[in-house]
Amino acid sequence: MILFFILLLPLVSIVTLSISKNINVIKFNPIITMGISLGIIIYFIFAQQIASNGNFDNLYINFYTLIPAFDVNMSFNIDRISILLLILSHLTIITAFFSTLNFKLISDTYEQNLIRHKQINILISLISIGINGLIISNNLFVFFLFYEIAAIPIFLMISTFGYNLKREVSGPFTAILKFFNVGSKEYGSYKITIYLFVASILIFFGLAILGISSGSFEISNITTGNNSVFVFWLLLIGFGTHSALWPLHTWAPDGHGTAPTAGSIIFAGILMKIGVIGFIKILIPIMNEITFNYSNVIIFLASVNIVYGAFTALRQNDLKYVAAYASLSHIGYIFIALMTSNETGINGAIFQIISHGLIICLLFFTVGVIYRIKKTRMISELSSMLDYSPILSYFFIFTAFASIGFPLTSGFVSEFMIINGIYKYFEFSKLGILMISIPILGILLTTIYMFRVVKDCIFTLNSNLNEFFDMDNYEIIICFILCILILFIGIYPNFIQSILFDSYKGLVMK
Amino acid sequence: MENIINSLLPEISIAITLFLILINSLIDHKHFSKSNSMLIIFGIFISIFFLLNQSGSIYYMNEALVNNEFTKAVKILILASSLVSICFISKKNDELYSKIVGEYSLLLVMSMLGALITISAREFFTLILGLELMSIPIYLMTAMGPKGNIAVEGATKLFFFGTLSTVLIIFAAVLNFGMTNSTLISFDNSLSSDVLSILSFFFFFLSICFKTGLIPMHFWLSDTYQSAPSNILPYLSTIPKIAVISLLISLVSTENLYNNIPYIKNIIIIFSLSSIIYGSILTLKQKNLFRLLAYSGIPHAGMMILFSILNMQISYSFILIYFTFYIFSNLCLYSSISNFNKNQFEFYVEDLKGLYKDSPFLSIIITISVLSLAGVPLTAGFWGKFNIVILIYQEYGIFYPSIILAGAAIGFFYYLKLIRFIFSDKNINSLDKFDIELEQKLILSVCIAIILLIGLNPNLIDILSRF
Repeated sequence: MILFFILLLPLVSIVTLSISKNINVIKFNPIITMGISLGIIIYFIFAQQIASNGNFDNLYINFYTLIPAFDVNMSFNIDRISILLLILSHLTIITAFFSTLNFKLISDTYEQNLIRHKQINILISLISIGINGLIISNNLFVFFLFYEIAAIPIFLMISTFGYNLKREVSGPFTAILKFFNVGSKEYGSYKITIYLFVASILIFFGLAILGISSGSFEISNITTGNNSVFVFWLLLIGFGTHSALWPLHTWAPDGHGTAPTAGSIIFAGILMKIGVIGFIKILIPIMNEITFNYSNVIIFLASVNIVYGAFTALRQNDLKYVAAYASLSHIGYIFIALMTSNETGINGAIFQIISHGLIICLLFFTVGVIYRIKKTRMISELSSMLDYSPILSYFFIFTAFASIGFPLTSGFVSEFMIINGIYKYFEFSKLGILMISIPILGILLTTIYMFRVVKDCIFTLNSNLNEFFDMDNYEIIICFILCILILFIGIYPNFIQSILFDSYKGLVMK
Repeated sequence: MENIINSLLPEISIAITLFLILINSLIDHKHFSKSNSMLIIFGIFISIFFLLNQSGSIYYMNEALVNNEFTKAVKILILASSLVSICFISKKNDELYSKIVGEYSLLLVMSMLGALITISAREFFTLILGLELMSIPIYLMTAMGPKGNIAVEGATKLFFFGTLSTVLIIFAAVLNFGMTNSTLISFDNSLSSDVLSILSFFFFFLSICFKTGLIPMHFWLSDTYQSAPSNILPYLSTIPKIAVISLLISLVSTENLYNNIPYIKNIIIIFSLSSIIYGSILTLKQKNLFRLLAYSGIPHAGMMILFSILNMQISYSFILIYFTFYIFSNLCLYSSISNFNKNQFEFYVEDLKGLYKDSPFLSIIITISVLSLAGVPLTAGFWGKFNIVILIYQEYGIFYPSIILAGAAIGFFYYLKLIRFIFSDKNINSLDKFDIELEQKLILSVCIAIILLIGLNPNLIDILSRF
C-alpha cells in the first residue's frame, strides 16, 4: 500500500516548486522527493522479502470504479518486473533532475532563470508521475491515462527549453525543408508530437476495441475477440513508434537533437521503453498467439534497427545524434530478445531494458555536460578533452566501454544472454547463424563509432586550447552512482535475477 | 391550468426578474449594475429551486412544451453557467463598459429565457419564439460593443444570417404543417411522401446548423467572435449552442423521428463528421486568437450532435458529461481571455507569449481549460470524447470513431500551440501586466475544480443527475 505514495510524492514536489521562490529549494526539492520515492521502493523490496524468497507474486489494488458499465477502474498491479522498471524510472528521473542543476539560458536574468528552472522541474515531475503510473497500471484506461500524462509535458519541454540546430539543407526538397524550418526546436517538438500523438491515438483505439469486445478494461480479464489481428497491428504500430522501431524511428534523432539534456535522458532512459512495456504488459500476455505468429516480422524490423542505427551513428557529427542512433540500435536487441520466446532471451531482454536505461542516461548526461562546458556538441570541433577536462573524459570513456558491452559492465550480461536466446530460438541453421551475426555486427559497429568519438574528442591533441574546465561536484556524484550501478549489475547480475525470480517465465510464448 | 403554471414556474421566475430589472433601472440610477446583478443572481437561484422541484416527464400546453429529466438537467446547467457569465459581464474595469453593463445583463437574461424555452419546445411556433428570444438580444449585445462600426459589422452579419435561419425554420414548419396538419415537430410522413419529411427535416436541421456553427453554416462564427465585445463571449460560445443541441438530441432520440424520416441518421452523421474534420483543419490555419477559438468550437458541436443518433437511455449521463465539460471549459477560457485589454482584430496567438510570467493564475486556468477542450486524460474533456468514441463504436463499427479520433488528433495541435506560447519567452508585442479581482479568481477556481473533479471521477455527473 505504501508503494502507491510514489504517485503522490511528485505532486507534493510540484506544489512546493510552484510556491517556492528560493533557488536551492527549486533545485534540490525534486531530487530529494524522488530519493524518498526510491527509498520507499527499496523498503518495499525488503519488507516483502522480494529479493530473498519467491513468495511475492503480485500486489493488486483497485482504488475506485470510474465507469461501471465498461469496468473501467482506477486499478494498479505491482509485480516483480514492474518493480525493476520502477527503480529504472526513478534513476532516470533523478539523473534528469541532476542535469537541470546547471541549467541556464543565455541572456536570462536571475528571476527569469528561476521561473525556467521551476517550469522544467515541474514538467519532469509530471513525466515521472506518468511513467510510474503506466508501469504499475492494471487497467487499459489507467495505462492510457498515465501515457498521456507522460507524453504531453515532453512536447512543452522540447518546444520551450530545446536547442535550435543549424542544419544545412540541400537537394531536391530544399524548399520544403526550409518551409518546415528543419532543425529548429519547434520542428523537433512538432515532429515528436505528431509521431507520438498518432501513436497514442492508435494505441487508444486498439485498447478501446480490446476493452469493448471483452466487456472489461481490466488487463487480467481481457480476452481477444474476432478482430484481434487488426488490434495487434494498431498496437504494434503504436508501441513501435514509441520505441522507435524501424521504419517508425525518424522522430527519435531529431527529437533527441533538439531536446534539452533532461528531455533526452528521460526519453532514451524510460519513455522509449513505453513501447517495450506495452509489449510486456499487453501484447505478449494477452495476444500471445498472434504475437508469436508475427514474431518474425518484429525480429526483422528490430534487426534493421540494430544495423541501421549503428551504421547511421558512424556518420554523425553531432554527439547527440550519435547517442540517439546508438540508443536506437540498442533498443533493437530488446525486441529481438522478447520475440525469441525462450527463458534466456526474455531474461536477457529485461536485463537489456535496465542496462540500456542506465548506460544511455550516462551517455546523454555526459554529452550534456560536454555541451555545457565546451558550448558545442560537434565532434569536429572537440579535441583534447583528456587534457583539459579529465574527469569528464574518464566518465565518457567508461560510457563508451559500457555501451559496447565490455565484460564487467551490465551491457555484457544482457548481450550475452540475448545472443544465447537467439541461438536457442533459431538453433544451428543458416538463418540462425545470420541472426546471431546481426547483434555481433551491432556490437562491432558500436565499438567503431564509440571509439571514433573517443579518439576524436578525447585523445586528439590540440595545443591551442588552454582553459581547464571540468564537471562540478553534483555532476560527478550522479555519474559516479550510475557507473557503480552499471558495474554492480555487470559483476553481480544475480541481484536483478533474484528480484526477477521466475516472473519472466510468464512472457514465454506457448 | 395549475399544472401548466407549475411546469412553467422556472421560466416565469426568470421573466419576473426581467421586469424587476426594468423597474429597478427606472428607480436606481446610481448603483445600477450592482443591484441588477443581485436581482439576477436571486432570480436564477429561485428558478433553479423551482426546477429541482419538478419531477417526471410532462407534456403541457397541448404538447407544445415538455418537461423531463433531460430538459431539467440541461436547464440547471444553463442557469448555473449564466451565473458565471453574468459575474464576468458586470466586472469589467473599463469606463465604456461600465456605462452599458446594465443593458448587457438585461439582454443576457432575456436571451437566457429564450434558451430555456427552446430546450422545452416541441412545437414549431414555440420553438421559433424561443430561438428568436434567444438570438435577438445576442445581435444587440454584439452591436453594443465599444468598438463602434466594427462591432456593428459583425452584428449585421450575425443578424442577416440569423434571419436566414429563421426563414429556414419557418419553411420547415410550413412543410411539416402541410404533411401533418399540425405545428408539432413530428415530421410524420404517414399521410404524405418521404421526400417531404426529409426536406422538412433538412431545412430544420440547416437552421440548427446555423445556430451551432456546424460546417456549411459556420462562416459567421469568426467575424462575430472577432468583433463582439469579449465579455459576452463566455455566454455566446456556450449557452445558445448547448440549448439548440440539447433540443436536437432530445427531439431525435426520444420522439421517434427515426421512424418518420428515412436517412435521418445519415444526414446527421455526414454533417457531424464533416464538421469534425473540416472544422479542425480550418482551425489549424488560424492566426488570430479569437478566430482560432471560434473555429475550434465547430468540431465540438459536430461531436455533440452525434449523441442524437444514440440511444438516450444509454447515453444520458454521457451527454451531460460532455455538456458540463464543454460549458465550463469554454467559460473558463473565454472569461480569462476577456480580461485582456487588446484589440481583438490584432490579437494574434503569438501575443500570448510570456503570459505565465505576467499572470500565472490566468495562464494556469487557460492551460487546464485548453487541455480539457483538447481531451487530455484527468480532465473532464477526456471523458466526453472517450464515451462518444466507445458508444459510436459499439453501435456503428470502426469507421466513424476513426474519423472522430483523427479530428481529435488535429485538435491537439492547435490547442497545444496555445499552451506552448503561454509558457514560452516574452516578446515585444506581448500583453501588459495585469491582474483580476478576487471574486473572479474564486469563480474561475470553482469552474476549474468542476472540470478536474469530473476528470477524476466521471460518475459524479451520474450521481448528481439522480437528484
